[in-house]
Amino acid sequence: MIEVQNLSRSFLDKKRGVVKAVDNVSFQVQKGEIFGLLGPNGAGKSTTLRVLATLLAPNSGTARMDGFDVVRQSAEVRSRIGFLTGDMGLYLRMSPREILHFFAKLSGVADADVARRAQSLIDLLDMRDFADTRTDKLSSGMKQKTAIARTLVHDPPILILDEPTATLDVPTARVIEAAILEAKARGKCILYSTHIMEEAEYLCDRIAVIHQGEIKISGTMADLRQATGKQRLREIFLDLLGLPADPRMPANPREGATA
Amino acid sequence: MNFGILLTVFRREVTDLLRDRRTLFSMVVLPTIVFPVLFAVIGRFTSDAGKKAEAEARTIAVPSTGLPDAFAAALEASGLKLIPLPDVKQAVADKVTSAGFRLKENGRDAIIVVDRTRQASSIAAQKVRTALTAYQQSLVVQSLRAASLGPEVLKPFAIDSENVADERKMGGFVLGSILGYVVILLMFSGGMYPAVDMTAGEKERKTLEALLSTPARRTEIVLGKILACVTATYLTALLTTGSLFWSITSKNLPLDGMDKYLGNLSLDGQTIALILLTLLPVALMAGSLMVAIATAARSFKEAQSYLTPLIMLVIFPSLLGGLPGMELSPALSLIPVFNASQILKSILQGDLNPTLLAITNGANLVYAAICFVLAVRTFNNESVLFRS
Repeated sequence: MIEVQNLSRSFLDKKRGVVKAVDNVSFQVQKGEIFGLLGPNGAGKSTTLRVLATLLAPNSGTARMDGFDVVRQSAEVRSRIGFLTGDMGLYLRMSPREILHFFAKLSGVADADVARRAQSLIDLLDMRDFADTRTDKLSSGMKQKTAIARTLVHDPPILILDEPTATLDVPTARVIEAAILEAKARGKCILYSTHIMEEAEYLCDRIAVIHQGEIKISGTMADLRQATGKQRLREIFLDLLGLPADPRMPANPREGATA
Repeated sequence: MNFGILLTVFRREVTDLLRDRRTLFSMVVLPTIVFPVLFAVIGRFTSDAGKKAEAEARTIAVPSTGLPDAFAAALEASGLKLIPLPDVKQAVADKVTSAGFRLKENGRDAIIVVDRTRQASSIAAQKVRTALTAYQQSLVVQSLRAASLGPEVLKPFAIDSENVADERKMGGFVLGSILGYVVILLMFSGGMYPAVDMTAGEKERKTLEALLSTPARRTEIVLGKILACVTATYLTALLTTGSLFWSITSKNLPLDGMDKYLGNLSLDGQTIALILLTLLPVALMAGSLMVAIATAARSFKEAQSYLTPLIMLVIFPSLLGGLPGMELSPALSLIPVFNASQILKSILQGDLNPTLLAITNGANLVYAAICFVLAVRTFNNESVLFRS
């Protein structure tokens, strides 16, 4: 479903010069699988996701989504992905229902199905009470539900989710996680970026840790434990970043390990 | 090109704009009330100021000694009250009286003392001059009579002037000078906020990424946005023009001093259609240009600080177009904004040159097309869309 091969993307920064935001990254995600991309801020997670969503062009390497190339067949790629951006991206002067209708139409959902599709997501995500309230009047949990529903509105085979629960309280995060697991059960291919270790551990089938644009390690939790000799994902993660798990200990930078 | 997508984007943008109070104010409220308020305030102010000055112009300072009776009688004929004072000049300067009168050293020639910065003083001085001229005339007639001559000796023939500009032309001149720059200025300011909101505003609110990750093509998205911005700009033009015409035809507004020009102005369908035709390419140009510029900005504030100088830049050519003595030529018809404001004046004056109208609208359409292409290209530029 998602095939990323030696993908690189750099930026020109006025102060730092050329910055390699994504450096030779490769991974695959299958149908019915949740693949977690784990990394600190500025690691290259969002840039990777933006390239896969065809918003940014790669400098080198290839990425195919459901068999379509992100550069040459970008429109086909976009019709097969649901992209949840890190910032939700909701129109505040519109209601959730209006937002869903708008994105359904843009995504090519047939006019006759737009209202039905929106209603089914409103029911699924328990949004009935606020579906017709202006979004600027909603709590952050309600907004995030709306953003998830927007991502799912055209029933895409691939979901790209950029930190969907980062700003939510636990009960709301649970609803979102349930929706993600439900999408997985329906055979969706899900690429999931997060820095919540606990969530990555129980939600993701496989995890890649990305740091300074490079994938440092990738595999199932069992693979990661075996490669690093650590048990908890938090320890594995900090170890790969060269930081001791105990915050009282000084940092000890090391070259990244690979599985 | 999928027109369904374009219309979906257009409809969303327009709905969004109509739900925003700031946009509603600059796009609907301001253009609707500007002329009625402007006329009401100017009308009230000028008529009040005139009445006040008229009421204040009542007194004239005269020398407390040595004023010949004949002069005193002539001055009293002006209807002003004579106030004898030792220093006439000082009295006028200190606003003790409206104007003053004194004689030169030769005791024969008169001097009217006036403070030209005060309307009341000028009115009083004019009354004194009229009264003194009448006295002077009577003396001349007396002398002529003594020499057995008639007054026609001094005036063998009369000189009058005739204004070939009819009332419509005068009205068009006055209105054209106002309409040109107020409408064009308001068009730009009416489209500015929508342009910023739908481009840099989307970047700032982080909705742009979600929009661009849909299957809709960027060109379809930006066309929908440009169309919405042009609609906002043109709506502003329609409301401003409508408000102007309503203000002129309304009997409820005080239009003292202007009604003699405005009364006979033709407001037929053809005049209105020509005005709206001329404003359409300007709206296309303004909308596209502002979308292009605002797309290049990183944030709402940055976009505003790019567009505010643009509006200042627009004021000058449209203001120039309103100045008397400005005549449009084929070459000058190529200057954007200036050309449209001149054509608007011609339309209202009723002396429209069809060639200049064609050149103006043709040139503005070309500029609109250039701005349009610029906006589409800017929106398709990845580094512009995602810089932060």
